[in-house]
Amino acid sequence: MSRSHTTATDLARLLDDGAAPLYVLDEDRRIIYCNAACALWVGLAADELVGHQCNYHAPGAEPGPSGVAVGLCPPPAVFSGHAQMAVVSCARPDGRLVDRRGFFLPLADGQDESAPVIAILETSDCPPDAHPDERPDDARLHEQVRRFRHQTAGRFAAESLIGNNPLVARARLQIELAAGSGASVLIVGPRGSGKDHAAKAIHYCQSEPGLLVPLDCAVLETNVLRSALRTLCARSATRPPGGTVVLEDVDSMPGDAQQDMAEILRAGTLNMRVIATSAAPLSVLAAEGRFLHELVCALSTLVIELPPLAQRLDDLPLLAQAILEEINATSYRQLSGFTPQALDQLAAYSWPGNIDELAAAVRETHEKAQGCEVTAHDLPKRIHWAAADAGHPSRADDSIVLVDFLGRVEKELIARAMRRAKGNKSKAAKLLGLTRPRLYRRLVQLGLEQPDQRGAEPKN
Amino acid sequence: MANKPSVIVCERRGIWAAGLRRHLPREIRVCETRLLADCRRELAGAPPSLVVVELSESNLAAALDLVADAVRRFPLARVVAVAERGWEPYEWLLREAGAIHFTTQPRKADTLARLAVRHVARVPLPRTTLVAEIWDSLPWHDTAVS
Repeated sequence: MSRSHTTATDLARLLDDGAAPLYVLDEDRRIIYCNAACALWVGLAADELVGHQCNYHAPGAEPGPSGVAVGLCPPPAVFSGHAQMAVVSCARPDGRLVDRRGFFLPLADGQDESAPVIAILETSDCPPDAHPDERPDDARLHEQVRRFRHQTAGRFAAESLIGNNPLVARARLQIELAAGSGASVLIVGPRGSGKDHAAKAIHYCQSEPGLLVPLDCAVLETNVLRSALRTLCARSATRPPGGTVVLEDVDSMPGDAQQDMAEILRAGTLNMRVIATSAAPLSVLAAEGRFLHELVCALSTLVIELPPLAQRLDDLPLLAQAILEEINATSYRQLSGFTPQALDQLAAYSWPGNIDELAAAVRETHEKAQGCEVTAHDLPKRIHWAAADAGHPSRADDSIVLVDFLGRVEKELIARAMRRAKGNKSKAAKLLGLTRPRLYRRLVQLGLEQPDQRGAEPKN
Repeated sequence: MANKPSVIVCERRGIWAAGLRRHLPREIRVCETRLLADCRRELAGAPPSLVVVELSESNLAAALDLVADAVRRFPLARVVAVAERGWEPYEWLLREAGAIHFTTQPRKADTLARLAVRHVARVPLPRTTLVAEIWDSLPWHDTAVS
């Protein structure tokens, strides 16, 4: 006994002194040993890691030893007795994922259902841009999923729904509540109000988010939508429950697809959570006969309402600043914020496209801005016009004097054609569908050219 | 108009763009690119566009980044991922990243074209004045004087 104990102790010392990270998993995929090099690589004490189970899935940025254990999990084939090389990953303290190639040796011949595994990793990380040349396989796909979710999860926390407006604060609480339950959720709000963001926040705030499948019911045709639903159901039949389907703009879902969806939910063939987004309350659509009552009930366990931006203008400075800073994060140009005049002009606009339109306007402004702060002058034209409109009786600015306006349009078009033709009157006349003499006359009449003193232009 | 939606195709050989051109109405511009960087540049110039990005062995991670980034930075944009046969396992990952559709069949370009038409029809026009709308509708923007 003492001799075998001594041998095991010597072996442990030997492994601990090794430069290569090494760990051992039992038949339940739990880490039962990890050497000092491995502990150093993952940034945890060996004791913290031992006991955690390695499951082959790709969670979000799961913190702590359980998240580390997920990253160390070898492909499932290894537990069935097939030794192989594979890549495992570990999150650095700065949130970056690093990869290491390793050899995974099962300690059984595949006769048993699951075998213990010894994992020996290389002593250096894979280069960050290393992409294997082979066609897609499960391991590569798994790594892509893990990497993507790691980067994505942080962006969709409930707190990312910015605003102090009471309606938004309520929506934030509801998102947290929804993330903690598996109930179906309906998110109602006008286009661009952040419904898709809220749906993703619910998904990524769950403890085991799994796959996220958004289906755009407004853009996808009925047959494409039905095909995607059928594929999802077929996938569900071979996988454990988990993941979320987001039915975006479900109020635009065609009738046939509504029938299919209701049938799927009734039969329970889709073992994923369903979140739907809609511009109008589904109960109203059902009352008008435009939506299936059965589907309304199935989708609306929890209803979250997001207000239009025009109803939460008190949040506008906060939102605009948050968007500006997000753009700063990926841009060479850095802007500090908005002048009070710029914010006034933003508030004068009606924002029919809501937060999405605000984001687009801020992005456009960020590219155009001359100084280190956004001024009213930097804002897009339509924002200026809206601010000008707000200061006048309704649509008074829209009236025109037809003759003057047509004259301005003609002058502008002739000037553009001349520039396009690089000053060649024959070419410009062709562009405008005029004869050359007539173009010349109009150029003179509109003051775009001095009359030829010699009267050289032919009359027509 | 610079902000007018178009269909931006990023692929190696022009097969998808040719198929789309056959089925799309002339009013919808098809912009063909070979590099993801060019595709991003085109999208920045026309943020409400439909992007069709081809997945290949050399651009997998970058294409995934483009899909996620396009949806995040340009909320009015929609992305469709296309690939050769054999890339079907990537469908769900691309959908999670934000692709609204995934296909490996260029002969079904008509489906993509109809999707593009539906997308373009749904892009909201910015609220503007009658005068501005008339002015914006004039041709030859690149030589505008006013």
